[in-house]
Amino acid sequence: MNHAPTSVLVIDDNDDLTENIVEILDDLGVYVRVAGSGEEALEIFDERRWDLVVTDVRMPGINGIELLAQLKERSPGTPVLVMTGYADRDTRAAAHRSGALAVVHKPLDLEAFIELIERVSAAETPVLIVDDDDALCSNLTDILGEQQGVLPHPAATLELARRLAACVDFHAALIDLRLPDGDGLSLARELERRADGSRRPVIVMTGYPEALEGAEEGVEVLAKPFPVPNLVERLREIV
Amino acid sequence: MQTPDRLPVTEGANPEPSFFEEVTDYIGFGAEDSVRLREFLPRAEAHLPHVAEHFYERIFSHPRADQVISGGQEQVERLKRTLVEWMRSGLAGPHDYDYCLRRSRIGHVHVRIGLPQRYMVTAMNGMRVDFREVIDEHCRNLYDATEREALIVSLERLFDLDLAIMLETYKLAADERLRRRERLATIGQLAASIGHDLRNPLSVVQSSLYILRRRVAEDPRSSKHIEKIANQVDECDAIITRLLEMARNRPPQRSLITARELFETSLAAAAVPERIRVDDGAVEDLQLFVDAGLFKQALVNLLINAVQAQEGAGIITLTARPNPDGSALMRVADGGPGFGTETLPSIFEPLVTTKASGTGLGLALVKSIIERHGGQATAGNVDEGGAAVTLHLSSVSVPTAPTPP
Ligand code: HEM
Repeated sequence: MNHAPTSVLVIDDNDDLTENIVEILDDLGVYVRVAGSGEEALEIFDERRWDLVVTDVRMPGINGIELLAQLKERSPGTPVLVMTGYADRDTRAAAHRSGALAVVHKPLDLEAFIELIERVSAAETPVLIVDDDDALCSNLTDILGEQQGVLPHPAATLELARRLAACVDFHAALIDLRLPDGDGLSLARELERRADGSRRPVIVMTGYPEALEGAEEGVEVLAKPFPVPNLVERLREIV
Repeated sequence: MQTPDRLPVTEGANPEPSFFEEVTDYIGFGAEDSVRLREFLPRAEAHLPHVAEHFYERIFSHPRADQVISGGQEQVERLKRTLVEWMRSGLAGPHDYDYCLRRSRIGHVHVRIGLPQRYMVTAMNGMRVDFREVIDEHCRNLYDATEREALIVSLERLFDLDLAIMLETYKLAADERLRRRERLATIGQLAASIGHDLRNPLSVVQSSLYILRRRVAEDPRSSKHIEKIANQVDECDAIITRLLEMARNRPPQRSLITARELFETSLAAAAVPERIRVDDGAVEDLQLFVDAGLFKQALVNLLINAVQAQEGAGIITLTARPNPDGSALMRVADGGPGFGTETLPSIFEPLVTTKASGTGLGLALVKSIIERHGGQATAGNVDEGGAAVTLHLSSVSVPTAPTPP
């Protein structure tokens, strides 16, 4: 159990907004730090472990998406929430590629935001979700996020997924078979059989389950499209 | 009902007098032509219905003609009568600028029904051939060879003139579309940037309200005003969303959905208050192949307008029905005062509003959404006086087979 106060780093160039967020989170006993720019955030970031980072997109200097990429470089396992006045398709896709936990609209839905903070602080069960389809990936992230005690870690590429897996001890993984930078199956094998000999449940999602018929032992195959309740049920059994 | 089930005839741009002068000059159409044609009219009169008959026979030999002429035999009979009238007025003249305007208005009718311009040249050529036949078969003994030649030249010039006006009308309509698109794009870019920037101060207001709300929970008066501010912030946010949606002009991502489902989710999202009765008796089983998210946005806008148009108890009447030709319509009507006659023609233009608090984007967004689906939106008033907006869906939005293409 994580008994230290939840820690949140907020990055936005609007001081009035960050002041308000600090006030709201302070009341909840959350440790909050504020950065007015991406550059400042990069300085503060290494000071400690953060349960959650929240960043605006449009800022002077490096923007929120670039910041996200750099933070994920330094600490792939830290969840980063991207907030923006308008999430167009490009912003959404770029955020997903760089490993954002989610993209949310401004003005922030504060109730949902606080709920998310509670979730990240309470989450004991990290689950890896690897899919390059950002709509599906963010849906899965949402669905899994609603499960008690599950912290989803979305990744759009094998590369990010491997870096995440190197620092987060995932309890389970949900992996798309076809990824832009390679085959999800190899990752599934690596995750399923850890170096220390322990095993983790891994589900591979594919539109062509026939191609995998009987090929893998230990790796579970889920045919796309799948009914969401089945998936949730299956994951609940796993975690 | 004044609300059109058919698309209405609205005015399009008119050719300039200078255009008319130049084109008559170029064609060489003059006073003698007018006189010759006027004298020809009584001689041709008896044969005009036959020419009209033949004209539509040719049109219907085209395999896709019934996509344009969808109103059945009744419409064809009406078209034949108007075509006879067209021939009569063409021969009678006077061939002045007013004539040009009237012809241009007829041109706009064809632009509006989406008839491609290329058919016009062929249609007019058919007309030329038929008129030669009238002269050669029925008026042979009325003209000697030179007179016959002169009459044919005059007729050719008349058809050249009519074709030129027709094509000019198509060009003006295309120019108009382009201008509107450019205007919308400019408004869109500006709106997107303003909307985006506005969300920052809104975020501050909204988060401050969140903090205040907890502090003043015991004071009903403060609470009431905080809720008022919060509602207005939500309203601003919704306006920004509409602006950005319009600016983005997203192409539809279609899926199968019924009209009833669309109405139901929209009614829920629009939060129609208790005081308004919703009559969905005229919502028929109608399967659509449209972008559900965009359509819901359009319908929510219409429902919100309908609510705001009525103080106290009111009614919203919903209609959805297929047309025999495979197209369909959806309509939202209210029991309010209706659209004013002076605003009606421009009601779908962005930044036109009749409400004190409106931004004039709601109906513009509705229009943009339906047009992105290849349909059209029309507005009018119902007999009882309330406003009605009708979405005309083209046949591609309405699958005939159970599975979409
Ligand atoms: C030389 C070419 C043509 C002439 C002179 C002509 C003439 C006319 C006239 C006078 C009208 C009545 C406009 C009014 O409402 O006042 C009309 C309407 C119409 N025309 Fe044409 N037309 C021509 C070509 C065509 C062609 C090629 C088509 C279709 C394939 C077509 C389809 C229609 C339709 C659908 C209407 C509208 C009807 C309605 O109100 O129900 N026309 N046309």
